[in-house]
Order: sequence, then C-alpha cells, then structure tokens
Amino acid sequence: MAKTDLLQGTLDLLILKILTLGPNHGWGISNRIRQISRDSLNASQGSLYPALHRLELRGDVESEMTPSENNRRARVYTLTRAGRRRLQTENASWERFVLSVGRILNAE
Amino acid sequence: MFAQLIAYLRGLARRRQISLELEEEMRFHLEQQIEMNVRRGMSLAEARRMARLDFGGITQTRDAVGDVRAIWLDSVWRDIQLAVRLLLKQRAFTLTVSATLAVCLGANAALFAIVDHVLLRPLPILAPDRVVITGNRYPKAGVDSGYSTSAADYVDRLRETDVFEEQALFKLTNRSVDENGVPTRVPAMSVTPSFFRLAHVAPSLGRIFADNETEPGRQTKALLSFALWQSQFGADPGAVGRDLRIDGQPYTIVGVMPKAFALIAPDVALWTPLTLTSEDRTTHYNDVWGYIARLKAGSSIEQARAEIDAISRANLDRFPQFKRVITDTGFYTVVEGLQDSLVKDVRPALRLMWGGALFVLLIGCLNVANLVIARSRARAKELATRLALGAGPARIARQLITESLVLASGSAAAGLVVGRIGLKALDVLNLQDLPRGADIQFDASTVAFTVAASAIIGVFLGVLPTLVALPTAPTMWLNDEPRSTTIGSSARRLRRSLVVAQVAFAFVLLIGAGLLFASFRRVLAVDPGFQSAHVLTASVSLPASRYPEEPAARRFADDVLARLRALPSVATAGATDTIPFGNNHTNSLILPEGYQMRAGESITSPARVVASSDYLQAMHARLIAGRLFNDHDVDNAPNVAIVDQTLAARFWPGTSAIGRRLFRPDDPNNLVGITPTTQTFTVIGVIAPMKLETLADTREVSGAYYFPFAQQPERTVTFAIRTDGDPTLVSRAVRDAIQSVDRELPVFDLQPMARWTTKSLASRRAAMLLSLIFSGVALFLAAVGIYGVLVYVVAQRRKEIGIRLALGASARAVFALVMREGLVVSAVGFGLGAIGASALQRAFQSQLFGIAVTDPIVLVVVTGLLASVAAAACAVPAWRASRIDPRVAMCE
Repeated sequence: MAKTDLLQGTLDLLILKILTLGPNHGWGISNRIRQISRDSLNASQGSLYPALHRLELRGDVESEMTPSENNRRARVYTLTRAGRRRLQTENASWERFVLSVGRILNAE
Repeated sequence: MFAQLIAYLRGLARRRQISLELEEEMRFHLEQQIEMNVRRGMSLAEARRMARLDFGGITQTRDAVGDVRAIWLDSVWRDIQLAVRLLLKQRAFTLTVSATLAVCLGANAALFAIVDHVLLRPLPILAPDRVVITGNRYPKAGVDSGYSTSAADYVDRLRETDVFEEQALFKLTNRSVDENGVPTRVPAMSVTPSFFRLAHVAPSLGRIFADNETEPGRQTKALLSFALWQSQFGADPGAVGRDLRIDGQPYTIVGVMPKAFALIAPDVALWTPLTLTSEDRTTHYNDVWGYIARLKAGSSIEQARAEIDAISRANLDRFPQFKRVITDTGFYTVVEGLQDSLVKDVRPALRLMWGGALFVLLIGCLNVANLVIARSRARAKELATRLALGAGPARIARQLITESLVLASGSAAAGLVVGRIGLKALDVLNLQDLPRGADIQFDASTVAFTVAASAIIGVFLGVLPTLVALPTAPTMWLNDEPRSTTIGSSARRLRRSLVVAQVAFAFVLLIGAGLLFASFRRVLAVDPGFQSAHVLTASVSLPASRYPEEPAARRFADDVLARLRALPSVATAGATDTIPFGNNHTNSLILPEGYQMRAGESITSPARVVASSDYLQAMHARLIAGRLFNDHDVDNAPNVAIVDQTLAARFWPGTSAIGRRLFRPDDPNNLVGITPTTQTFTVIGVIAPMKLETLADTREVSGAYYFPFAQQPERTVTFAIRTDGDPTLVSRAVRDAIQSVDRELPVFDLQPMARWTTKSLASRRAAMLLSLIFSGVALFLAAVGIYGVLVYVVAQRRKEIGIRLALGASARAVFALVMREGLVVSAVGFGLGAIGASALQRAFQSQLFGIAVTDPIVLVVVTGLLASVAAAACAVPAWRASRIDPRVAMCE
C-alpha cells in the first residue's frame, strides 16, 4: 500500500485534531492517524514525538505521566484552550490552502 | 498569550524530568505496538522486529525531541542575553527603574516582615485558633480593658462549661534568679498544670507539672525556658531534678520547654505551679488572674461566650447582694481568640503602615510603567522591523516579558538588600515593644513575598508595552512618522492616566501622614500631670518569701530612700507601685463616705496608686489643694489619701474634697455600707490628674487615688529619683544604693522617666514616621511622573510649538500651554485622591487623636504642598518649551 508522507506542518494539525477526541498518548495518536486515514497516512515516530513536545512548549497541549494498564506509565497529552484556538485558525487556513491548490491544479 | 507564558515557565521548570521520562514514553509506545502486532497474529519476535522497524531509530527520535527542547531552551537563553544586553545599553533607564523598584520593594519587604510576624503568623502552638482568652469588664466603673478573671470564675467554668477541652489560669510575675552571682529579674509565670496540656507542647526535657503540684508544700517546682536553661545550666541535660534558687528559695527543676515555646508573654523564663487558696476559689469579681481555654473541636467562640454569660447570670442570682451593684457597672465578660487579643491594638496601625508601603509600591510601579511605555514607543521601529522580518507577536511579547522579568529580578535582589537594611533601621522605632515583636526577622517568607511581588511586577511591565504597541500592524510603524500616530495618542492617554493615579495615591498618602503627624503633635502636647525631665526610675520586686510581712517591705523602702536621698546630685526620691506608663496599674473599688448613689449609677474602680512621701514631689505632680504625703504619714498615724481632680469632681462636685473620707467596702452583703471594721481614709490633698496608661488615653478615665506607701506597702516598687542634671549619670549609684540594702535583689527598668513615655508612644511614633517617609517618597515619585509626561509631551509637540512661536506666539503663551497640560492632569489626580482619602476615613479614624479626618489645616497644607510640587514639576518642561528655537525645531 502506498503510504503518503505528511506535508511539513500538517502533522501539528492532525495531532491537535486527534486530541479534540480526548486526551491520548503518543502511541494512541499515531494509531489513530493510521486508523482514520485507513492506513494511508503514517506519522513516523521520529517526527511525531518532536512535534508533540514542540506543541507542549508552545502551550497548545499539556502532558502528564499517568499510570496505564500493566503498571506502566504513559505520557498522556491533552489539548489546551490555546491549542483549540490554534486548531480553528489552522483548520481555516488549511482549507484555504487546499482550495487554492485545487484551483491552480484544476485550472485549464 | 498568557497560556504560552505559562507553558514557557513550566517548560523551564520541568525540563530535567521530561528528558528522563522520554525514555519511558518511547518504551511504552514500542510495547503497545508489539502487543498490537501479536494480536494481529505475528510471532513475538516478528512483532518486535516490525514494531522497531515501524518506530524508526529510537536514538534519532530522542535526539529529535532533544533538538526541539534545545532550540527552545536556547531561544530562552538568547532572550535573556538579549534582554541583559539591551538593559545594559540603556543604563539610565535600567538604573532609574531598578532603583525605583528596589526602594519600593525594599520598603514592602521590611513592612511585610513585621506584619507577617506580628499579625499573620499563627502562634507557635497547636491549633491556636481554638485558644480563647477572657476578661471581665466593668465599663461604667472605669474598667474597660485588660484580660483578667477571678479564680472563682475558673472554678465555675471547670464545673459548668461544656465547650472547652482544657482551661488554665495563669499569672505573670517577676522572679529573681542569680546569674553569675548577680541577682537578675526574670519574667515568670505561675500556671495551672493544664496550661501546658492546653498548649499541646511537650517539654524538650523532663515533664510538665502534675496536677497535685499546685498543693502547698509541693509547689516549689519549676519548668525552665530554653534560654534560662542555657544561661543557668549551660544546656546541661542533667539540670532536670536539680535545684534552682528563685527569690532565694530552692525550686526543683522538673523540665525544660522547647526554644520556640511562647504563650501569652514571649519572654517568660520560668513557670511555677499556681496555688489557689480556698478563698481565691470562691471570691467572685476579684479579677487578678489570666484565663485561657481551648475550645473543643467544632465548638465556636459564640458558644463559649453564651455558656460564660449564662454562668455570670446565674452567679448574679446566687449572690443577690452583688446583683444591683454589679449590674450597674455594666459588667460583662469578653471572650476573644487569643491571637486576636494579642495584636488587636496594633493591627490598625500596622495595616495602615503596610497600606502605605503598598501605595508607594503602586506609585513606583506607575512611574516605571510610564517609563516603559515611553521606551517601547522609542523602540517601536525596532519591534516593527522584527515583526516585518517574521517574528510572531507572541515571540516579541515573550522577548518583552523576558526583558522586564530580568529587570524585575534584578530589582528584587536589590530590594531585598534595601529591605534588610530598612528593617534594621526600623529598630530605632523599638519594634520589639510590639506584641510578638521579638520574633520579627527577615526570613524566607519575606524573601518569597518579595520575589512573588517582583514577578507580578515583571509580568505586568512586560505585558504593558505589548498592549500599547503590539496590536497595530507593523506597516504603520515603518511608514509613519512615529511622533504623530494614533498609537502615540493612545499611549499618551495611558501615560496621563497613570500620572493621575500617581497624584491621587500620593495625595491619599500625604493626607494620612499629615493627620498622623498632627495627631502625634497633639499627643505630645497632652499634659501628663508630671514632669519626666531629670527623673530616673529603678524597679525592684520583693519576693514574698523574704518579705512576708508589711513592715519588712516598709523598712526596705525607707532604707533605700534614705540612701538615695543622700546621693550627690539627687534632689529628691520617692517610691510607688504604679509608675506612669508602666503597664501595671490596678483598679480598685473605693467609695466616699455618705455618698448617695443615684439609681442605676455605677460604683467606680479608679486607679489605686501607692506613693511614698516625696514620690509626688519627685514627679513634680501639681498640687491643687491641701498637701502631699510627708514623713508623718506613717503606719500608726491616721489613714490618709490623695485624690486627683477627676475623682474629686465625681465624688464631691462643687465642694472641697479636703477632710472628706473615703472607704473601701468590706461587707460583701452591703458593698456601699460602712461597718465597724471598714478602713477609712481622710483626703488630705487633691492633685492634677497624672496620666498612668498612655498619653493618648481617649477612653473615659475614672480618676485615681493615692495611699501613702508607709500605710499600704507593696512588693512591686519603682523608685523615682529627681536629679539635678542628666539622670542617667546616677544610674550606677542608684543600683548600688538599692543593692546595698538587699544584695540579692535584682534592679530593673533602670531608665529615665522619659523612656517610659517614649515607649508608650512607640507604635504611634512608628506609624507617623513611616507614613512621613512613605509620603515623602510618594511625593517625589509623583513629581517625577508629572515631569516625565510633560517632557514627553513637549518633545512630541516640538514642531508644533516651533510653528506657534514662529507665528508670533509669546514664550509666555507657550509656557502657559504646557503648564495647563500638567496642571489639568494634577487637578484630576487631586480630585480622585480626595475621594480616595474620604473612602479611607474609617481606617484613619482609630489612629487619630484630638483631630478630625477632615482637619482643614492638614487638608490645606497637604494640598498646598502637593500643588506646589506639581507646579514645580510642570514648570521645568514648560520653561524649556518656551525656550524652543523655532528655526531649529521646524527644520528637524
């Protein structure tokens, strides 16, 4: 199956979107991205984790080590109010971007 | 933007921990993936391989995350470096701001240290909020303060109350112990054994008193304070069980209390068991003990008050002979939280001082804010360039906030130094005389307070320019002439309102300081009824063990007085039990013979003072009629008394008091009747009232009466010695004279009479001096604020002024133009300040003496002062504006 690499910057948008469904850990997020895109998008871990930490430092997400099943601890990320706002604006600009690119590609 | 700031700070705080947890985070990811792969039907080895493949390099990921953090951290570090560089470059700005903030923060740090230790800290015992103290008051008889209780009340309450877990009786005394062979007076307390159980403090050595150690014969036991244990036994743990001579008698040491233990009085050196006679236990309304109690968990002070009131009412019915008399005195019992009662008197003054310090800080911040806005206007181009080059507004805001945080933390460091020095300097105000004043120190909470305050200021000063400057598009800054934009006018409005606020705050502070100053002058002008100049005092406390009978005390006083009077340069000397402002006056019931009380009129408990012959002479008390005591008023001579004018006017209004008789009622069934055994006293003199408690006694005073020492000797004796010159010069000779009569007697309070007066004015003087200092600083800061805004306005309107001048406007017109601008701002500030001052009326009222909050003189002086300072601050820039050379200004 052909997998599409993520466009620079869109990973942030996807992470924020996934987190609107509820707090999640890194593995859960990457799994979700795969599931929802029906395995056509793959966020490599090498970019997922740096992105998560960048988002946290920007104040868009918060994280906390929480105990999960089998006595293990996982870092769970939660969307902040600032993150929700950013998602809205980025979502809008993404749509504008797609529309513009579409127009150019479809131009006769 | 705020969320970002928090994330920024949190990122700094958590960075170590996060890098440790990153490993765990990635391991978790892998394991989860392996599990899922196994569930999909892979073998474990296969699952593991796939998961690893899928994940990519662990090391690379870790490095990538590390890079994100490092880049971020690096940018923080760069922000700080940039901030420091910028601040160093603008040395004048940095110095002005940090000096202003350091002074304001320092003043607040010093005041916080005081307020924290005196008012805010809980007492060093378990759950201090459940400890209450009570006091019997007879307002119409002149007893309307103090916290004293009769032992009979204690016995009643032990039996009949339900709200207390533990109750205790105590009495403060002076005891004498030997220190290196020198008899020394130490403050001591006799207590019921329940006292320590109530405090829930265990001794650090030994044990507390057993319940049977209050019985006569067993009561020569003592618990030592940590300090006394150190000075007497060199902190030897073997001290417990040994003997200590107290007042010349051996007491067995049963324990040592911990260093931090303090209850009621902070400097108590030893505790002994309190013994009650059966007479003590049954005599009501003989209030000579202190009483504290611990409420049961869940009980309230109101419940305690209700139960105690119920007992009082029942007692009136039990003793019908007292009912009318006691009711007429307005008798009631106050029940208050212990901590509350300790600091109640100084709380308003301290709050006022702290409020003053906060006002100064506020004014300082407004000034600094003003500077910061001016500076960010000047930096507009720099910021615009950075915006245009792609830095987001958030990034620039971060830089601005970092800058002001760097500035604020520098100022906080300087402020801590200033505060420490300030607190030392405040020592001249005799802070240790405040309740709990001995604890005051510059400690971690003070530092924490200062750091927190400076952090808030730092954020505020950082956010401020972003509000003023950032919302506008960068193009505007780049294209426009920065001096004439709309942002310019919004910043100018903001700066003007800051100055208005400054003037208003300064006005309030000045009014407060003016009122306190005027009050203090009035207090000093109060006639105390004696003259303290040239008088030295020296106190002794005669132990009952060695001076069991009255003649012994009488002989002692006579011997000492004879020796004192023989000293060179001593004019005269006398002895009393109640030195003015010594905080130990006694109120005691007295009645005039043949006095017809009106219905409902209260009996009266005036101050009872014992005075030897020559005491009133030495104090220069003013004789109004009759004579003072002399050497003929001895033990076997007729009983005599002196009254002050207040008491004379009450008992014998309109007629002479001389030759009238007073009596102390001794028939419990008829308090106002005379029996064959009743002692009577013939009034031989009337003096002008002597102030005994404080100069500024605004409560209704019921007067005082004086008995000759020879007829009513007391064991607490203060000698008053009038000298020809400086009283301190005879200190040594006085001590030697007293100790030549009794070598084992410690002499204390060896000080000029003036020192008693000063001490009684300590908190009033402190409040006044501090408010003067604060308002001086505020005045200066406000002047700087006004000046700064006008200089800025003139600079902005330079071109316009140049044109005006060129078109023929006179220098005077330009001067007036600028003056008007400044004076309008000041006038608005005055108005707001007046409103603020009237809102604070109530806070001031309790601190004033003999003066109304609306005192016209203070109002006029303060307004005049502030107005002339404001005018001067306006005049300099206005004058400069009028001297602008139009040719130069217009060509710029």
